[in-house]
Amino acid sequence: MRRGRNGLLLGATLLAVATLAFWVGRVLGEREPATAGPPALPAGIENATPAPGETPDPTRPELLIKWVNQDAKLPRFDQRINGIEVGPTVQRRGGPCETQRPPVQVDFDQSRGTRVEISPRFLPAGATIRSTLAIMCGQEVAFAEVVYALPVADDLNERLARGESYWDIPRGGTIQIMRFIGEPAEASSIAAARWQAGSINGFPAAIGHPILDEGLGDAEVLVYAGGVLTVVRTGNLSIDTAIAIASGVVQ
Amino acid sequence: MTAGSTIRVSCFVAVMIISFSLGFGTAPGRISAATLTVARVNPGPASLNGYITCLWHGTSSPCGTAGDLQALDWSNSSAVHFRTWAFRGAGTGTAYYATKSINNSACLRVRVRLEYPIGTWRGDELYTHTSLFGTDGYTYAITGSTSYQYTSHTIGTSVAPYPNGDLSTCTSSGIHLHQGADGASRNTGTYSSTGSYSDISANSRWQHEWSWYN
Repeated sequence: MRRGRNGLLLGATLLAVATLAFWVGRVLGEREPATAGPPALPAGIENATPAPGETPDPTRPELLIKWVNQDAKLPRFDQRINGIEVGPTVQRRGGPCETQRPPVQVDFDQSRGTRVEISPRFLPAGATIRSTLAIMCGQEVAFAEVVYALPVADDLNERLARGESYWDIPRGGTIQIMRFIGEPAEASSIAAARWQAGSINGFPAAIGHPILDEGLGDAEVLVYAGGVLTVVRTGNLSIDTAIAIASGVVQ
Repeated sequence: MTAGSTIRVSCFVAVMIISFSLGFGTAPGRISAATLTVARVNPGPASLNGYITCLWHGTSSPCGTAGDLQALDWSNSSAVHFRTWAFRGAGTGTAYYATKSINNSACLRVRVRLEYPIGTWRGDELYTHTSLFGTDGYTYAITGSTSYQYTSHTIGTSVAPYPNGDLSTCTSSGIHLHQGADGASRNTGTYSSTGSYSDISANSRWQHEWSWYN
């Protein structure tokens, strides 16, 4: 009987000690406030590139610089993709602005109903107009542009700390949509290997993928239809989103 | 001390160590606290004695028209520099990343995109009537500190109006640097009139500023 009571007492004491030690450890372990911030950058990361076979970890954005560095080493050169010229030294050419001088900035509303009208049927949530521009050459609006901005999630760091995928968190950026009359040619900084031929609503397209298709770096979708080149340039959005935006502009 | 009590004491010590370790290891907030970052971008003309030919107007608009009022026109006919001062509340280290790329609008334009962490947009510095210098898509790690740190990179060259450099859709009529931004605070206190400004690389002479908590 007495042995049993002693055993119970010992067990209870052990439990109390364990609980106390656990909470002392927890309090001492909490060296910083719980407000989340990004983890410290690993040494040498700024110049690192991915190891062979390494895949990006969407919960550790501090390591993604390796894929950005790798991309910067890829060659850029002018090429023709699906009949559309792209590359770092490609010159925009053709259209009324070459012959009907000078170009004049006009109210953006004047581009409505013209060949270069921009009325996107799809935009990511939170997109707000940052700027608009329309240029008239002669009697024709020959160039139009709209730039949208996207918000960064206020709780980005907290969501990352909870293990949420970086690709699912709003990370801001801009969406630039340009349409102009001319030949299918536009300058771009996107690496040559990231371009591929495609089709948007049945029209020939050159699709410049972001560094990671999930949404790291710029993507560009160029579509040529009816003598008008449409350029959709996105930052840190997925390639699927960039294509969806372009599909909603070219009709 | 009997063998029994030795075992009991050992048990207590073992339980204490294991429990303490478990508590320590699972403690919340084992990541750094949120700290302030400030990114300032100064004017980019080649000469450190800059000259403003047109005060605040739209990044996508020529002088004399409205818009976001983020742009200043600077006299310039040669190199364009990305000049920045970075504050990093967490101490010396990478404050943000700056990536340069072609970003033509109606005119030739170079964009320097500010991000932190990489892949999260903080702002754009936009250099119009400028052709890109150096590696397309190159990313600089910009160092900051609690007392601000200065960095400068040549990112472009000013171009003459069409047909001698700029695009046919551009309304510009003379060579200059039109420097705008997206989503920035403007230093209207310093740049309040057209004319000369000495040492445009000084911290107090920033043109655009962004801040965020990491």
